[in-house]
Amino acid sequence: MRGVRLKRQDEEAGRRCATCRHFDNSTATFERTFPGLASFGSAAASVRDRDGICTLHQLHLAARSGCESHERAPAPEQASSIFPLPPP
Amino acid sequence: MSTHVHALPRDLQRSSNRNELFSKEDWWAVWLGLGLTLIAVGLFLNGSSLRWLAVVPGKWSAVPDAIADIRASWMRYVALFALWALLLGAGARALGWRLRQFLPAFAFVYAVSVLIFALGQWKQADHYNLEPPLVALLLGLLISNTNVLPRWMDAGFRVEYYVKTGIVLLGATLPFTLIVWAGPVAILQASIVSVATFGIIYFVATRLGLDRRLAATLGAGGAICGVSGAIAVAGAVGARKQDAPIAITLVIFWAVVMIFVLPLVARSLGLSTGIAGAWIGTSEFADAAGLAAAQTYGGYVAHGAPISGSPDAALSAFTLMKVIGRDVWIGIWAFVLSILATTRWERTSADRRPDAGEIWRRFPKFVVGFLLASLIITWVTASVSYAQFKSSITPDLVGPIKNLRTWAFIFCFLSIGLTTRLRELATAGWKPFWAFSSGVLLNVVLGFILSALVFGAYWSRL
Repeated sequence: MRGVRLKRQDEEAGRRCATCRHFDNSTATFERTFPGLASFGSAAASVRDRDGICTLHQLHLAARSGCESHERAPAPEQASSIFPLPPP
Repeated sequence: MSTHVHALPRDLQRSSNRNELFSKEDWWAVWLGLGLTLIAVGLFLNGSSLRWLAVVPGKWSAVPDAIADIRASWMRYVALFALWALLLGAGARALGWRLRQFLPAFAFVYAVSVLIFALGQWKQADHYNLEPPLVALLLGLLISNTNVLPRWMDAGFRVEYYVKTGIVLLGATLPFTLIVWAGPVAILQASIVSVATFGIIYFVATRLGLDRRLAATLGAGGAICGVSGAIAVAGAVGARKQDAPIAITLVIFWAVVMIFVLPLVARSLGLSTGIAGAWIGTSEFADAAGLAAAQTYGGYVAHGAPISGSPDAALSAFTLMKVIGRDVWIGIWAFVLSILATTRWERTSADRRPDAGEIWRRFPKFVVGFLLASLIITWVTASVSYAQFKSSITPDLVGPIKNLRTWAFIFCFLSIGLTTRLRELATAGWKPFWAFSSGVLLNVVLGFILSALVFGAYWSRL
């Protein structure tokens, strides 16, 4: 699929996945999305960095990725996808 | 508006850096492992020891003896549970797991671990191949695949949390001079195998028509660090959501097979513990799986099997090979592959600019704790004679830390089985299977040649 490159101006404008409402990087979601992950890995490991799932494009992305479909998430205190809350 | 847009990501980044020290499992393993090491050192320097707390079941021949042994020390077992529950619970809370779920689940893990540890102390255990890692794994698999436990108990089955804490404690039982002496060989050997294995998996996968991001994810799973390698690289290259689960399924399948096969084959070949540990470190994908295999092999020697080398040499060689030789490079692999993904591969809907900061962000931080723990103990024992080491340091300082490490590993081995629900794993498909399996084959053969033939004299001296 031919997509859209993350342009410097997009990056500077904060259009990164970390601030996008389509991006979910909570540990609970991560472990639910990847069955078996907890057997020999962990969503709370350093190697994952702040990667998450793009629910719009169904991609596994670094928090620093971005695209033209970026939509700003609610303020951090309301955005559980950016600041993971304990699993229910 | 533009001020707001600029400010948010920087705020997020600052928050992330601050929180990482307490929101990542790796750092909690460092705090717990180093904390226990420092407590042990502090007590030792003040003429005391952690020995009372770090209880282990004694050897036994008849069941009544085993029961009597545990009953005689029941208070020590309760105190040890309280220590682990307090320390691991603090980390669990910070990592976002609910304590009312984590603590009962951990109590179950602890109770079963006591039984498994005690069974492993049976003098006939080796005869029936009842090494604690294998028993823990099989029992866990049986429990998880018969759905007898409620799902919320997964909160206490934290394989990586336990294994990383155990590896930091393992550092406290390894002289730093040994790491310096063996580290370069481990890095050289592991690098040869990692590059070759990644290359063959990527080559076969792309020739079979698989997407390059999936090929890289499979390659990282087989060549670098199992599930951790796969998820790190999948995120770095922007893989499809379904790619990492394919790699996870294949890693689990082969890792579990290798836990049973590698120690048996190494034993039939009569490999020394050092060589077998190095081979397992080169050929296993996941730290937890490799430690299970290496500890099983060391257990054969502890039970009197005619194998040269000390029981601990298998664990030491494995850890040097896997942790120092392979795990530490995960960030570099992710960084290099992210450059390839953004500059050479077909684009996806999203894009990113690779940055070298990724190397540290994805670095497995528990390795820092492993090295620091080794440095602390090496410094404390630097001026001690061999006789003093044997009479004082081993029973009062290193011995208790070793016992705590063994407990952490048994928690881990049991949790592997308890979290591996075979029916829930993603379907891998034949093409990914053959691509990954080609790497497994190369891994095992090349790992054996390097461990036993090229560097054999080196590893057998460990």
